[in-house]
Amino acid sequence: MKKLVSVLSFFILVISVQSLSHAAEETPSIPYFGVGATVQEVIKGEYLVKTEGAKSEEGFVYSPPKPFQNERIKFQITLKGKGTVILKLEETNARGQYIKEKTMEVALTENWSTYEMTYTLESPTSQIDAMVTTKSQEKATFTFKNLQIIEE
Amino acid sequence: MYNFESVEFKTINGQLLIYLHIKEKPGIEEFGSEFFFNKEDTLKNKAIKYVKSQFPKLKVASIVVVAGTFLLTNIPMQKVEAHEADFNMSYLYFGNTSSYISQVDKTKGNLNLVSPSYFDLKTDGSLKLTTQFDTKFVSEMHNRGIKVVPFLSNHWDRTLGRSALANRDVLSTQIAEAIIKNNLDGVQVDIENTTEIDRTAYTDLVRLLREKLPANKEVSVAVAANPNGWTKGWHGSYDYKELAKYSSYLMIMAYDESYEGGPEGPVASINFVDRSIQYALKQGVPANKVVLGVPFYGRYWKEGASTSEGGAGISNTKVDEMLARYGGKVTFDEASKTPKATITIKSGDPTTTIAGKALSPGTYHIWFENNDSIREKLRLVHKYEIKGTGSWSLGQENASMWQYYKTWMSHDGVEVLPINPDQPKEQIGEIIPSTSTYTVKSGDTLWKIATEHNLTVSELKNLNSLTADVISLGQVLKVGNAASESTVLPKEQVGNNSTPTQITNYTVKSGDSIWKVATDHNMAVAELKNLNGLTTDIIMIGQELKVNSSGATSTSTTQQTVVTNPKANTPGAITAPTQEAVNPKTTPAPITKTTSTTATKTTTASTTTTKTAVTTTNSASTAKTTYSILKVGSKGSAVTNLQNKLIKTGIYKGEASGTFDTATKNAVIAFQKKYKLSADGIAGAITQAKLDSVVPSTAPVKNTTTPTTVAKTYAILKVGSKGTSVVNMQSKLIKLGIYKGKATGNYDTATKNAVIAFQKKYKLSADGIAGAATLGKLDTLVK
Repeated sequence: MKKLVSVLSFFILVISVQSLSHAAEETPSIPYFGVGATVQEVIKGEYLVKTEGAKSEEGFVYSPPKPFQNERIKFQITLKGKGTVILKLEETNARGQYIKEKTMEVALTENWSTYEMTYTLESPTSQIDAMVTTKSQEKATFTFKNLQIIEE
Repeated sequence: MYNFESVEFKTINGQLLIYLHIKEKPGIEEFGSEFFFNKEDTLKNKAIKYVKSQFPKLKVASIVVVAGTFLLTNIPMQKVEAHEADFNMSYLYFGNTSSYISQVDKTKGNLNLVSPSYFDLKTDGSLKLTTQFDTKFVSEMHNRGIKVVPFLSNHWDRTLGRSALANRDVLSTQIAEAIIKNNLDGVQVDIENTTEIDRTAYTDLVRLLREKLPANKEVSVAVAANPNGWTKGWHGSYDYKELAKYSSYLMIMAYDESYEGGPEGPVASINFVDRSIQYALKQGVPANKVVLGVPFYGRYWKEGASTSEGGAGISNTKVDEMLARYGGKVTFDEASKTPKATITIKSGDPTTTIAGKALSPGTYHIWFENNDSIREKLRLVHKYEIKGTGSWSLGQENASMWQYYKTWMSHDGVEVLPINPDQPKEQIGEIIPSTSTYTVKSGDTLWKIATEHNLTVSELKNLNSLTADVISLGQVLKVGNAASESTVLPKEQVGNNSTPTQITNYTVKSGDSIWKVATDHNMAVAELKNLNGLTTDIIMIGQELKVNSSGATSTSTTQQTVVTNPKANTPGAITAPTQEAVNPKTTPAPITKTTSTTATKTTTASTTTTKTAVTTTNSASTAKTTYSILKVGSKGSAVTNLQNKLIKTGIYKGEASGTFDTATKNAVIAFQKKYKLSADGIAGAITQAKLDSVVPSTAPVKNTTTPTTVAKTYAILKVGSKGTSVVNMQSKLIKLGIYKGKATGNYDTATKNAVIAFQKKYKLSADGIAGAATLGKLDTLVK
């Protein structure tokens, strides 16, 4: 019986390790990518963005992974920091071809503020890049949380 | 930067030389744009391009580039005017090691490099070696002298692509290590669907790879075709010029012009492809770093369905399979230089499944690629003098194409125009359903199917490129052609029977073309060329050709075509995709005692028309003549003869195109009605015999089809050259009394000396090499 328990324990351990390693491999890293900038999760759900200052329009980008159900969407994000940033939605079709974009200028504050920008897609099959970038060439630092692309 | 200050013309020994005077002055743009060159371009290439563009009609012997009093380079034009491309790569995506090797071996040595799907990405942007990776495949390819350069793919996943770019430092190290460890030959970066914001990082990944890999390992990039010069979206992610700096070449994915969910149209029209190459060159990518991507697939749309439902992909081989199964019509769209098939699936027809989707009854429009369209694309390789071709993906193509690929790629100065009728025109026109496929039913086994179709299991597997014994319900298998149901003589008997070989000699006369000679002797052009060892379509007046004497004149033997059913990988095999052999599938008639006369039958598709054993008596000679059953969809010389005879009767007003189309059918019906025959539009033995009695086949037949032009271009002949071209040249030199030897067909030293003597006599460049100038001069002296 003891031997059986040992054998079972061994198998359970093996399965657990495999599951863990598999999970580790498949765990998505941060879905926000720096554009001439670094993106770092400072505390859970809050991300710090530091631009290099090499050129304007540095910041980060996020692409919703799932296809949309309808054309009306809303880009919502909570930000804090200094200076002015640009919120931008850029639409490409399913083949990657650029369709159009919409931008909104935001003056950051030291307190958290939530911003929204509505957008009408050319087609629900389109892909969207949601970006927050600097307006001009500068070394900027800002923090964000609660980024959402909401279908209306 | 090179600026040509002035151009000087000199004639030396009767040959024109162009002197380009150059002054290096970087940054100065005071000259016209035609004098401005990018610093990446070599002086030699630019000099040639400049002369070609500015003086296209001048026959220049040499270009001499001079800087002040210094001669920088002397470019003999005869040696450089012909662009040859010898780089062909292809992607391997569908299959496994075994099928990959089989696919590669069917390319007949045309590939230098294969790119399997070995490099994927983990979600964190690190390298994942796919389960397809196999060291056996790598060594098998190396044994064949083929490089293995896996492509790194994000499978269109934008986030995954960005993960890779964000992790590029680690990723590039992992890739370099994997390449070295596994004896691979490099990597092709194929990260797609990122955008202009990723442009810098993309280029940096390629730079890192170049930096970390040894010089003998390749780094290349598959780039989006950008005929419209878009700078945003996916197209904006590729900085062509910068990428080229760190790459062996850029592979332009010049396809998907029409796409899934989009309106019906070609996958890669010639204009789209042309502009895609132009874009790369305009960006400053050196021509020798541009590889043209060619699709081996098409896309289909169902009539009446919404656009969003159409445009799914279909392999070229699947199109062939559908044409064989359902019949259909293939037209060649001249504007896009691509074929379009229209296929109707009726209710109750066998089902075709593509990518897991069963096609419902209806009419389908399929834009795909065939030999003609691919050849058109390869012309652009020469037009822009780019490195070569890539193709997506191996195994989707019609394997018969590889017979011609090398010829298309080697532009040796002998352009054969028009394309001869027996070359790949195979999928044009109306195609009747082939009887040579079999749909697997419940209870079938390979052995059962093979036995029922007079094949061995091995033959059946070869015919269908099967690597395992597994078949599935509904699968369509090729089971040979209709002729295989006839009596098949063992190979040993071919040409070893008591019937005299029906070969005679024919002397080429003024006005002859290779097409005319072939047609006059009931032969295919390819057949005639094979019989005479001709590698081009050029024939000379006075040239002796072996021809089939049982051609236009009636013969004294009864024929039965022997189809030896070659293996699929046999050069010239007709077994590969069935409708590549465009012969009509005639209904086998009861077989009478026959004698084989197939010694002159070659592997050309159009020669495989089954001669049914229906015999009739020719009133003129009392000899027995056999007739193929000709009907809509039939093609080849038998149809040409039929049409010519109908033209003679005044019933048929069209051209003798060799294709039995609706107009031909109507003419046959009119003829049948006129002579009170069964007016079914099918030209069987009775109809053709009647036609022969009205228009004797021995009478000269007016050729109404545009004959193949005897090309006035010349191959360059030199020591070591062999063949009829050499014979012709030697014969002419003999006639001029310059050459005292025999016309052996071998370009030996004695021949060279004679050529030099001739060249000196006529003040040509006396190099002993017979190029266009020498052979042209010979032609003017000896008719």
